Amino acid sequence: MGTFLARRLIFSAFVLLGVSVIVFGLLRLSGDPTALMLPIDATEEDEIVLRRALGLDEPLPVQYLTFLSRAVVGDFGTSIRHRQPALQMVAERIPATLELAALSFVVALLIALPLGIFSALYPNSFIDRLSVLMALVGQAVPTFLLGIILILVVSVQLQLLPAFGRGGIENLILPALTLGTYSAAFINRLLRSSILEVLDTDFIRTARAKGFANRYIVIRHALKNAAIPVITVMGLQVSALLSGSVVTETVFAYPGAGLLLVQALGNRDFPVVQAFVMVIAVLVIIINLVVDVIYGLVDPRVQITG
Amino acid sequence: MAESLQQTTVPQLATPHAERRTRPRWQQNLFALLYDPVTLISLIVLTAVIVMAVAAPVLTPHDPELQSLRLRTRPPFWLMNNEPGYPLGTDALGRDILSRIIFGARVSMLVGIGAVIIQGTIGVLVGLMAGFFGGWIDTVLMRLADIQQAIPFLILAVAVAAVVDQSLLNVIIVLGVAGWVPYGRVVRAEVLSVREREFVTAARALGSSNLRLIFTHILPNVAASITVISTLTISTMILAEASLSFLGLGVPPSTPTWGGMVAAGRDYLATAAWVSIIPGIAIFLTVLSINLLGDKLRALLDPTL
Repeated sequence: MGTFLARRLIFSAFVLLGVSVIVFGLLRLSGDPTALMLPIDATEEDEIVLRRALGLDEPLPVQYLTFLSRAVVGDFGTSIRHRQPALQMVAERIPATLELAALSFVVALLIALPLGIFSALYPNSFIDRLSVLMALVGQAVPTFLLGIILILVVSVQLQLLPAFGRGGIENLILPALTLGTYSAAFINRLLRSSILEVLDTDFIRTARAKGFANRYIVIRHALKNAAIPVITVMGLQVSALLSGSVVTETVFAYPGAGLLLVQALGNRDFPVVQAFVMVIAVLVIIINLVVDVIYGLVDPRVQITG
Repeated sequence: MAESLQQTTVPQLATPHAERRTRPRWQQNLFALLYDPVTLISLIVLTAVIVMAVAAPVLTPHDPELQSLRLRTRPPFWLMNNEPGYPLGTDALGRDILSRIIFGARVSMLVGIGAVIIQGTIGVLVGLMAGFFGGWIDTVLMRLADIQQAIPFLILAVAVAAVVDQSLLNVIIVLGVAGWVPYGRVVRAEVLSVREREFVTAARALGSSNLRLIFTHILPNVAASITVISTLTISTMILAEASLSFLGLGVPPSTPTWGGMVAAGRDYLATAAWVSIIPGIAIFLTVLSINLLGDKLRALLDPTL
């Protein structure tokens, strides 16, 4: 377990280093940042002074190392627009995004687990057909359209829940439903097919021969094995939820990090963008690490000795 | 057409039962597909979208950019106060929604297909090289994939799309380059098993070069998987482009896009919901049709996938 974790940690550090190259390259792609920072009436001397102050007169590898050495201690520079440390701005918004993503994942599981298990218990039943339909719709409807329809029906017509902002749980319900639907559709179908696959194996046949009820077999025996593929894709689902949160937060004007990213991109506020991408990458890497460990705990065939 | 020629040369047998059996496999599959109503409807929807994309200037009743103060937010035909000649109504600037939907199909299809071609090319080349050569080439390429996957797809896409100049070509390139990893991984995994099969060893023993082995012996054997992923990825890319346009980070805002139309209608949800909902439904129906056809294709090409 110790060596496994150590290996994974070294690997994660390496991936993070690679991400830092992409993030650094992102700013280089954006062209000359001095053009954005200087007032319109700036002289050529002003530009040279600013370039020197920002270290832009150095060769690229030197610039990267400067960027990296600052990034390691959490310094991504100052927001061009808000004159605040970029990392601090992102860090202040991240809890709201995590709250939304976590609740969306819960929503996804609440929809997907009962539907997936029931569909596998009674294949081709009415509920199974309904869940196929829901999965198809859930994977084809754009996140923003679902959000807009929910706002229209629940907030505008029925006036049940607020459509915008952040506060109590009532502000989270619609965004979490919006964001969780795609994952729900995906997990539901995956769970159904993996339970059906497990039900076809010898040890289930043995359990049946012993005379256990179908329901007992599915819940006590099949579910644990069927959970493995679902856990495998969880890392990818988290990635999809974080992607989707950018759109969902924009639709509901939910003040999370995703909305901050969209605003920063609109303002060409690249220090904030860089800090955001690095923070998200760290989150994704940590969550994948946790998923790997859970995977080993659930499936004893996976060796966590490294 | 070679198949139909071939069929005419097949000797006609006496019993109708035997005659049916002589029908080529692909034709049987095709008939089975067309008898399935869901597949047939999906095909019709997708064909309509493609026709709209190809023949947009001929089909549009109005100039999609033409604004009119008099015709602002007119409802579609199923609501009251519809303006004749504007069956899907108009948006807040008085532009014809139907004409904008038709031109929007262009962007969606171009981005969907273009991005998939780029992703497929990068991903298949990487997967073939990593799987075939193994060793350090495999390690380097797969670590690159790991690095790229640490940044969620849409976040990478919006960040890069905002940095480069706004243009249709750039959106296609950004989505294409950001999304090669799934192809790379699937192709690599398949190549790993295909390269151990006897016919590859036989071809190698006959002196085939590596290039020949990869492209004439291994590639055809992973083609089915590539086709299936490509179909399903077109819909993902259409959704991604719609999200970019919705966020205002896609193609230039003046170009009509479905995602951009949904975004433009957001401010009028309470009074003129159709401005947002109609283009949203266009995205939904297109993506749904592609997914349904993709699933069918998967069932046909690879029952085990």
